[in-house]
Amino acid sequence: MNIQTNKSDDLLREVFSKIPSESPSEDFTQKVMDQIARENVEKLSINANFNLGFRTLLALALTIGFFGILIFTSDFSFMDYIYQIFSTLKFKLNPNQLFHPFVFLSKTNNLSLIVGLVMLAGGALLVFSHNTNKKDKSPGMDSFLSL
Amino acid sequence: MDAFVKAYQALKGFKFESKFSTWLYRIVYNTAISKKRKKKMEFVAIDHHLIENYSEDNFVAGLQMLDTDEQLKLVQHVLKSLPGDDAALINLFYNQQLNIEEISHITSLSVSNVKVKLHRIRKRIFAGVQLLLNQSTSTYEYKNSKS
Repeated sequence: MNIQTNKSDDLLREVFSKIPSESPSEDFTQKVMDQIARENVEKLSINANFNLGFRTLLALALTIGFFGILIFTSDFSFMDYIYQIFSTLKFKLNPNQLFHPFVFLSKTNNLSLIVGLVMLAGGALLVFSHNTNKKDKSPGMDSFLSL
Repeated sequence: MDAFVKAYQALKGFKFESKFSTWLYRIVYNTAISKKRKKKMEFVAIDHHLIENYSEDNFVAGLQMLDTDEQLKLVQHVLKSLPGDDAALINLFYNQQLNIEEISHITSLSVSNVKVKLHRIRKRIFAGVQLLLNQSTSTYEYKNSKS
């Protein structure tokens, strides 16, 4: 296939060479720089606007709640100090009544059980977070440009 | 303008593996093609039969009968009827006078694919010009017969 050396091709090349090329307007460079500045500001504002969605908040609340229960039902010595503060404030806090299903944790010294539960909860939260992130993604966000 | 903004933003990624102009053409090409796809422009279909049965001699003879302005108008009209990527490809070859390897790099098409595409586009242009020449001749004859 010879693309460059025949009469019709030469003619086509000649005609194309006469097609006037478009030249940009005088303020083209300024427009481009303005657009770049605008996009940079938008990017910065998007990064600065850290917005917690409902699902993230729920995951965060569950995590805090879970660890709160673990700590309150544990035998940590500093918890005695906290109970003391509550009692001085005339606020009765009985972890055995509050978190009845978790009381077994306070009765046992089985560290591996606690570690296992923490890891299980962590794994569950990871799966939960992964699934919620997947749902949050809007379609058609793929970038067009494959450089 | 979008292409220049993208080029500016991607400037850090330029690795001097190709000419700067080729890199810039690539961004401009991708941006233009993407925009064209979004607009979903409709193109005038040139009769397949005409594309397969064009005569290069008729094309040359017909085009040479016209003055430069008419030639330009005719070719530009046919160019507008081409799909965006075809028009870009033929422009890169004839107007920007880039070689096949450069076009291949810009468009991410293989060298042989670029050659095949250019050949087909040329055929479409020849057929399109021939079609317009035939139409203008018949209009001229129709007007003459009326008067």
